[in-house]
Amino acid sequence: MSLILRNWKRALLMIILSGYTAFAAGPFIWVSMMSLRTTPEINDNPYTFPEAFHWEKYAVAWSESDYSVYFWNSAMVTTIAVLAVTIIASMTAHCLARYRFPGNRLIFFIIFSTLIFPPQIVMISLFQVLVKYGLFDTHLGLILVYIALQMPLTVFILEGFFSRLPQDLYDAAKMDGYSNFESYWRLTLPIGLPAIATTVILNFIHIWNEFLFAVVLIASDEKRTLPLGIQKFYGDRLEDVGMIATGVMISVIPVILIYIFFSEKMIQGMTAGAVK
Amino acid sequence: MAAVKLENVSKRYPGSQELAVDAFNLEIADGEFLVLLGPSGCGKSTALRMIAGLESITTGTLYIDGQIMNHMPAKDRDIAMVFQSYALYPHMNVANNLAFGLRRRKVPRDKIARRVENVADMLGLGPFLGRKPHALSGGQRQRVALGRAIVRDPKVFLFDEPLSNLDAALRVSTRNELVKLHQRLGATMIYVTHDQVEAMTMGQRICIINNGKLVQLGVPLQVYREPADTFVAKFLGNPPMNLFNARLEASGDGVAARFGNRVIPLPAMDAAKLTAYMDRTVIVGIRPEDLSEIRSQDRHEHPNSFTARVAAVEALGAETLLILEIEEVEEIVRARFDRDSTARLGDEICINADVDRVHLFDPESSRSITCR
Repeated sequence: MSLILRNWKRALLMIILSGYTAFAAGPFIWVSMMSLRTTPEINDNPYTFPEAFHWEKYAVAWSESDYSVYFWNSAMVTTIAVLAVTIIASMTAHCLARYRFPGNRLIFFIIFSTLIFPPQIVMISLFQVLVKYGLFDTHLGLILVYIALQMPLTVFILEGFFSRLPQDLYDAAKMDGYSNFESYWRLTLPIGLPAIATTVILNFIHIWNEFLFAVVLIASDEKRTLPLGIQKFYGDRLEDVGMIATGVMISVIPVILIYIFFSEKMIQGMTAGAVK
Repeated sequence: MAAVKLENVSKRYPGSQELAVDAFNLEIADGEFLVLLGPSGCGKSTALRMIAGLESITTGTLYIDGQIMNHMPAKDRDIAMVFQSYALYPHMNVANNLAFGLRRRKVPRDKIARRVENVADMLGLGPFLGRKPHALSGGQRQRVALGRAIVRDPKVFLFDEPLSNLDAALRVSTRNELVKLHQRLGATMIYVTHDQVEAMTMGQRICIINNGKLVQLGVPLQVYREPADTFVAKFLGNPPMNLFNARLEASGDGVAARFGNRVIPLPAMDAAKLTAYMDRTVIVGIRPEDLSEIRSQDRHEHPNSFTARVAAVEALGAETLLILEIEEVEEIVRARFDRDSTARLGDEICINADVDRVHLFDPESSRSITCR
């Protein structure tokens, strides 16, 4: 009896999970199929698998538009911003989690409280600041804005993880002769890698896909990032649905690669502390 | 190896009114194994951490080998510490855990390898050098933590309750290993514990701490037999010493304790030194093992015997612990009898007190006034 009940429960769970997977992955698979089909094929039958795989569309999308420029702009801005956020936020989180000093919790609260404001409300002031310091329409300006925007959540996630690392480890390192910076470098970073991987993925995806600040703070065509490029691509090829799908897929590939690379560590980070 | 000396050392944490450690004066000889013993939160770990350099010293002076260490960074004190949680670096294997401290001290690679190998052999860690801490048992982790301290060949070893995470059997064997290790290395070791069995069996001297104050310092049996106050009397010994209020009276040339209508002479006490307490209430203490069961028909041979009702029996196999109620005293009485005791719950039995082993304490200061 209990075996039948268990099988039913499992079947129900499978149905729910399959439904959710189809719901979540369906649009993505549909776009990826469209990216390999021509627009006339799509117009004939939007919901089908490709009869022939038109891989050459990727080369066309890459070479006939400015995709390569946008792609490298995005890659540079995202890589530098994610790297800087990871280093600065992990150091901040290490200090807040590890050292007792006056104002520790106040600083944490101030950083944390910025999370509740929608980033759009700082748009105008950021625009003015960037113009004043000659950073408007520069990649450096955009990178600095991304660092500032991603910092609170990153510090919050990392501080939560780092503060659970036992103090004895740091005391042992201190007795072994390691300085505060070496403790950060040799203990916090390697032990905190799962949490750091989580923030790297979240920040990478967010910055890679970021549109609003990029569209306001970048004006020149050659400095556009990929989300702006895709928008331009839409405008240029309004009728060419197949090519738009190909362009979208190109923009998604780095995110998938980053996810595959860091996902194991990220899952460790998400489940850390859940089991003994 | 080195001698350690604490001179009026105190610690007050920021924002706290209380002293965590209150004016410790303590000298630990070169090569000595000293145990700091006390209940949780008494300040023993804080004292150890101040010696290690992990906590600052609020007032007082710490000397190691005659040198003032108050402001010396932890890394320069040449001290190794074994933590309660072992504090093994989870991302490094056993070999790297052992070598981590030596690398920072710029010890040549071949020397590090040799020392790691020696310590691994000494502690039986050879087969586990490539494993990470999560793949080791509790006992193995404990040995790695110990090895990490030994490999540095420090002047002083500090142990902060290193056995408390081990199971009972492993604790006993590791206790013996630590004693052997001390004999072998001849190093100065300071060991913090709240476990009186560890203190009694391992320490050459034990230092009892309560509420941040050093209460008594001495060799284990001396502290057990001559507790300085009622705290030590109750803290050391399991079951703890029985303490009763009684009136001290003159009895011929000597003194006697009055419990209600019963007057029990205390022939071992020096009456001349107790004159200040005559006709006053004092605290009388007797250890459970100094009470013995006698047959009721032999009672007339034991003028210091009492009739007691058995309120609880704990037959432990090797011995039998009893909780007794005696008409003459308000407090319950704990007794330790041998394993052949036939006392059962609710029985009335006769017990005899070994009056030569009775302790006396001042009721106000709780300090011992025993004078034999």
